Amino acid sequence: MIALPSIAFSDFSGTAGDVTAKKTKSGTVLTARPFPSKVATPAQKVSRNSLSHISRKWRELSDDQMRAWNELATHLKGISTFGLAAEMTGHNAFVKLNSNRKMVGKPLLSDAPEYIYNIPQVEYEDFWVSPTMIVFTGIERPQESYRLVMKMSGSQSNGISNGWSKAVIVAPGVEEDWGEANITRLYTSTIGYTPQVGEKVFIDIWWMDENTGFVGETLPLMAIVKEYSQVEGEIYVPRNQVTQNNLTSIKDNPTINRYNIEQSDGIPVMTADVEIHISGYVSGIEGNMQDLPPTYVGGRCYFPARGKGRCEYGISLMENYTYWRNSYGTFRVASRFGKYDPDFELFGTSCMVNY
Amino acid sequence: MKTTISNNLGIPEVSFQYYADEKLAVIAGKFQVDPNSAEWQAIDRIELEFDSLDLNKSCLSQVYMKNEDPGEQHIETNRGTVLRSWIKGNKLIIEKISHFDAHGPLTFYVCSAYTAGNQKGQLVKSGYVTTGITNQPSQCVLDKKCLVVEDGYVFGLYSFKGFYGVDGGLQQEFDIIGMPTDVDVYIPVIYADTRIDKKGAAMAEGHIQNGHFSCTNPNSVTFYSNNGTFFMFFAVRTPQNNNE
Repeated sequence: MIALPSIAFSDFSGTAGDVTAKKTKSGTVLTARPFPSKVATPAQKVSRNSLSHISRKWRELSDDQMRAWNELATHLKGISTFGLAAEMTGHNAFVKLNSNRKMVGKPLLSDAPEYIYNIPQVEYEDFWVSPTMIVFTGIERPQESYRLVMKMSGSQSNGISNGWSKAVIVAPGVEEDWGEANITRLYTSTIGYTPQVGEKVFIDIWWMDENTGFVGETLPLMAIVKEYSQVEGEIYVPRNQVTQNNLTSIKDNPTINRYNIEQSDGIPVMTADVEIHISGYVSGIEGNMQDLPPTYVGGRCYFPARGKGRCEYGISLMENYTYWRNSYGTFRVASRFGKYDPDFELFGTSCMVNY
Repeated sequence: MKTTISNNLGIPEVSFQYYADEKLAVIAGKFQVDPNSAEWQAIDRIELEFDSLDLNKSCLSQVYMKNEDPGEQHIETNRGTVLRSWIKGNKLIIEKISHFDAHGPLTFYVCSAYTAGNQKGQLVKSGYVTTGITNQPSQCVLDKKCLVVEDGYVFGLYSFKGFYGVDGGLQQEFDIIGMPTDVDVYIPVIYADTRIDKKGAAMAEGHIQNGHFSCTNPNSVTFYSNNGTFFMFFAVRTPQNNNE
């Protein structure tokens, strides 16, 4: 974007060819006309369709709602690439905040939210960027409604000093888990390949308030891909935790909405937070497990499960059986006692049994 | 013992048996709520505040809720469900479900362990003791059982193939082999309840004291006291409970 100082060009606007002229408080500004790149990734297509859908919804707002968004926009200023404050209209604010909310699956806000100006920068203790894991630790989430948004580049040559422009959103609203954000799978599914040792990855990370769509200040980071952590140079120690990412070859096609079963340190205690829908005639699910740490201990544990379907609020006692040895494992979650509902939530803290 | 300093239920202070170390807190006790109270109607979750708790934040645990008025349900029995619970700050937080409000008051059974999250060491299978039941009625048949006894707390799991009381009646009692005598806890007994047209689970209150278990089965014993009845709990070992 170029601000023209000449008075001769201070009073025109419009688009000619690839150039758009626009009148602003500080003069006429020429910008390159934005065209979508000719080759759009599927994610870009979805994003562009989404922006266009949100933009169209602006016209359905009442006059009062538009006025409120215009008022909100006076607090918000976009930053141009030259560091100049750019104008923001109510329409811009509506699209910007709602597209942020849409990233985390929230519905469209018709009423302008109250202005929030103090969303802090993300703070962390350490992070790992290696070919097998991308993990941040020691993250303190300032508020329950804040989600992490992370842009990352594919791994770049070590000689590149500024590759943030190549970063794309890989984590569109992650909830940290006990201070950790493991985005390994999100990264590889978005970028398409794993980072290579010795190369550089450029990262932008910020908080987004999922209730309002407001975002905090971006924290730019650069990492050289290596097995050790970026700050302390330590090896990552994983938790003995089975999540949906560890389950494979699951029989009978259940719908698993949540799966997190975790082991404690030095005692036989385990915790669970699982939600499953089984559509067949079986009273549980089973399959294989992968990518667990060698310290994972297999065994049998029982948790209460609460019905969500035909026996709503009914309680059954479900057995979680796991076997894990030499990188191979199997698991089973099955109703054993009480009142079984194939649509259930299993949660709580229990002990591994001795049989 | 830990006693609440405030709560959002409008009930008097509640005292709980309490054990904690750096990885685990065990809390045991019960309290009752009137679902018609303005406080209950106004809240979206239960918060019991203490002056301090050893864990600042815990993983998910479970608390059981039972209604006390069987009302005109098809088969007279108390029913209830299991609720999410966790520690945050100095508060014990319990999920609120209003489905059972029409048959209050509601009794909440906390016989739960709360663990610190992000533990990276290895689970250790320890504390198991030989257990079983003895002096039980002839139609009370134990199926699975597990008892973990640590210095400060116990974990027990008992399930049954049959749970008929003395002479086929409602009163149920037996001794639990290996149960320390310093455990005194009220726990929910959960029945299989194969009728699927009813929400919630049939429940009764069990009491373990001096190694002895007792409860009163629901009226419709033929429906409820069959295969699949169970109870599972954490309880605190406290010297003052020792009745030996």
